[in-house]
Amino acid sequence: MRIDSRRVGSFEVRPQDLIEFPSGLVGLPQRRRFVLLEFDRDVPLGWLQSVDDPDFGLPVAEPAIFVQDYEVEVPRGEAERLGLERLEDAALLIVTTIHAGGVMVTGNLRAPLLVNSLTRKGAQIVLERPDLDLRALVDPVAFAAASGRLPVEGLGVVPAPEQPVG
Amino acid sequence: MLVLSRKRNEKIVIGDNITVTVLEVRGDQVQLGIDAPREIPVHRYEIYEAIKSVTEEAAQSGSEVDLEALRRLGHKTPSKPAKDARAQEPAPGDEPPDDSDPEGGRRRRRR
Repeated sequence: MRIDSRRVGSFEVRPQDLIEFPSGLVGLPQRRRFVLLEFDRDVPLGWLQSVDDPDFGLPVAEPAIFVQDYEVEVPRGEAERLGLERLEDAALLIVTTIHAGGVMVTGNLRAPLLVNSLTRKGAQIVLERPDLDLRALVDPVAFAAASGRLPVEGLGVVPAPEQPVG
Repeated sequence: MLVLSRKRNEKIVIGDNITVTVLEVRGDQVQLGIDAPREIPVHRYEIYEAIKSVTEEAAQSGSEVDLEALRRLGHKTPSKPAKDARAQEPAPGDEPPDDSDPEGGRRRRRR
């Protein structure tokens, strides 16, 4: 299927690259199918592009650019809903906000995106962890160390179609 | 809005498979037990709203990105390759974003 987006241009999405969020994101249930795109070669972010709404997309990142020891307890119901049986099939993405153009980055550690990399089904899970910030500051050292890659085990990142997303 | 009065241990039913039980009432705090199918997410309103607005903010933030600034955040400038990122100073212009606490009300209300 084809995406025509003002932001990321026009490109073809292969069915195997789709990531489906059967319930959408928290509070935003309408957009259910996404594709994970490269953001920029020198920036360790991804771009989660909606297939249902070409003008909607989100910067996402791996948890390690915010905290080193991000361990979350997946609610059992969520694991069952996603058919998640093995820990190694679970991929976590953090919804990331780029502030003031690019001078600061924060991530929502309280409500990560959990994706089963086998079935490519995902959900935004809400953790019962008031200690986790919805706007956690990026760790610049970790950001630098991760530059140029978005290592999300097993999910695969589709190269940006024509030009970088930004 | 439909308004119902319930006592402790009384329930209401929403649709055919959601029940809400009043477990305890103490002062201005009510403890509710919610039985709902797995596919129906249940959240405290405050956190639901906060997460939704952070996601919308994130989506909005992607529209005008200064890639050079973002690359500098990772200490990667063309003139100064970040071979040893740890030895470098943080990029100039870093400033903490608005850190208003969307959960203030929630924290007070818990427990």
